[in-house]
Amino acid sequence: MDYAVECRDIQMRFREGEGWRNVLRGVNLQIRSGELTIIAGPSGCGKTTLLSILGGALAHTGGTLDVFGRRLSSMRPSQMAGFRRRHIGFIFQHYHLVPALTAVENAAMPLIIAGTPAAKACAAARREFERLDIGHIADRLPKRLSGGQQQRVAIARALVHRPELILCDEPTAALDSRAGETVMEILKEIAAQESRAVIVVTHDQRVFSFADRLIELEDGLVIADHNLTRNKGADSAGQRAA
Amino acid sequence: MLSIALKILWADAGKSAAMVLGVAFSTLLMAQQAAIFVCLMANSASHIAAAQDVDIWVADMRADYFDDPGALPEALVERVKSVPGVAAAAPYMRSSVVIDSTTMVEQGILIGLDPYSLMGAPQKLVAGSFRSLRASDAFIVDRRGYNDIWPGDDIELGRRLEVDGRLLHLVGIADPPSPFISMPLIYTSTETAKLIRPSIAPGFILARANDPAAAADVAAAIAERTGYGAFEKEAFSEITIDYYLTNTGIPINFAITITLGFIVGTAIVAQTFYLFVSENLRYLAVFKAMGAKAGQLISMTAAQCIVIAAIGFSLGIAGAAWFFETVPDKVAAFKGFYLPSGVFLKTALAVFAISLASGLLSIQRAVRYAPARVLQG
Repeated sequence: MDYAVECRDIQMRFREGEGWRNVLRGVNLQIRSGELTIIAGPSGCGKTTLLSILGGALAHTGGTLDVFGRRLSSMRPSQMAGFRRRHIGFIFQHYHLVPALTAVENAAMPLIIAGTPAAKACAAARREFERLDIGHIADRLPKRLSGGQQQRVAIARALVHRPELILCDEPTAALDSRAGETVMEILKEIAAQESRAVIVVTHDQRVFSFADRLIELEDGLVIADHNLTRNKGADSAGQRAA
Repeated sequence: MLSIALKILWADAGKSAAMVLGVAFSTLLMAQQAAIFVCLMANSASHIAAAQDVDIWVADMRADYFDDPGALPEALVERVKSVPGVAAAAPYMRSSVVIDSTTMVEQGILIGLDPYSLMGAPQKLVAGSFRSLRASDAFIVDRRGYNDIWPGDDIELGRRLEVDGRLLHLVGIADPPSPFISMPLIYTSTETAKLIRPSIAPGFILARANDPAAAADVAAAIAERTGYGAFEKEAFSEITIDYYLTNTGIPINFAITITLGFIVGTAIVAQTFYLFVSENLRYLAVFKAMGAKAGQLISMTAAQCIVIAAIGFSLGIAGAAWFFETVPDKVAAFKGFYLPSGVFLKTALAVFAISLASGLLSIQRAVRYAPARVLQG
């Protein structure tokens, strides 16, 4: 079977003082398109590092990583940037909308970066806004938007260039429960209806119920992998650290 | 991408204004001071270039420059005339004198000319005629000198002026280029000059070549025949300017001011741009995470820098242009000063270099910034 993401023995270590700190110690994962996968775990367990590696924003120090059949491990930084531009959408915890740009201009940025003329990119972003039912805030500056609206703009930005893989870093952490649920519903719908792979990193247990699959990470290792769609919460093939 | 870069730039109005003003101030200081320096140096030789009918200046070899004439024997005029290729020759006397207009006493420069050939006279007259210098005790004063001696008065020929105790009458107003030393210029005949200053001797012998194109060869022949220095007017201008450049503190003082303008401009723009990029680092990192190439970030920053530089330069150069449009008409010391095109171009180069270097140094942080950091909060 072709996976959207396939990690084999992914390792990552950072220099810390005079020694090294192993953040990921051999992660094995296969993620399919059409699923919303949540990677959960306590702070410092390596989930954001793993997300960065999956998104080609950070080069891992060991193992192999294939995303849509392309081996990211062997790519140069410029090739990784090109890969991110075409195949990956990011949603950040703090939205990271540029304050000087309107909501629609923010959402159009991935297309503009890819070389689409600004007018055409903004038109595409407006269509995305209509789909997410936020057309009425398209011309507002971020400071005039609520947290939930800003996160929906960030979702529009992650989707506008039609990426196959959407990576979300704590997308509900800064939102109240209702806004958080709305965001998760949108992400689940995107995964299911558009057959995209959506990976959400979070420690917000309120949103676990939206996942098709829940992967638990601890001390740089996958300690459990739950297929929530098939088994209604029962553990499937958990991966335990040796 | 470029329109996005400019929107980000203008959104931070405070920093944009600080950068524009920094560039404008730097431009004004560099352009204005450099232009004054260039004009001042050009003025040191302006009378050489503007002297009527003169191709060659014969001088004492020990004379360093135009404002330091030696004392040449009058007989040298005939010796110069006898050199093949010389069409005419005349003495040029020059000495400082005290002038007394009854309302004020000040120093002036007495210039004695041959009233028949009028070699060495300035080319422009505002009133009167140079031929009137043939009359005894007649003098012509430069327009700026007239305003110094009789401030606020309309031009009136026939006025009396005491020069070194001898009473002269005014027969004309000349309009020579600004001299390096700004004192009234009193033009008289060589005879009247000798009556005012019996010890005065020709400071230079002026010569006109039969063929101005062969002036260099004629000058060499004069030097060989007479043993005195003989220079084409361009060469003598260069000698004079070189003297001021190498023997006075003027270039150093102006260089310090111009360098300060450059440093202050660089400091303001570099520091503000660094802060600007630092504050936008998070968003630039987001762009990187989305796949923006380093070249795109650099071109965004370059566009911001070029716009800041263009606006700041326009404001600064407009200030400098305004200075040279208005001040020389009102302040005698700046008469004839202008903004040379070379200064305009070199200031533009310096300002754009400051802005681009500041921006490109600042953007290095964003280029090196790992896109993963934006995911780490």
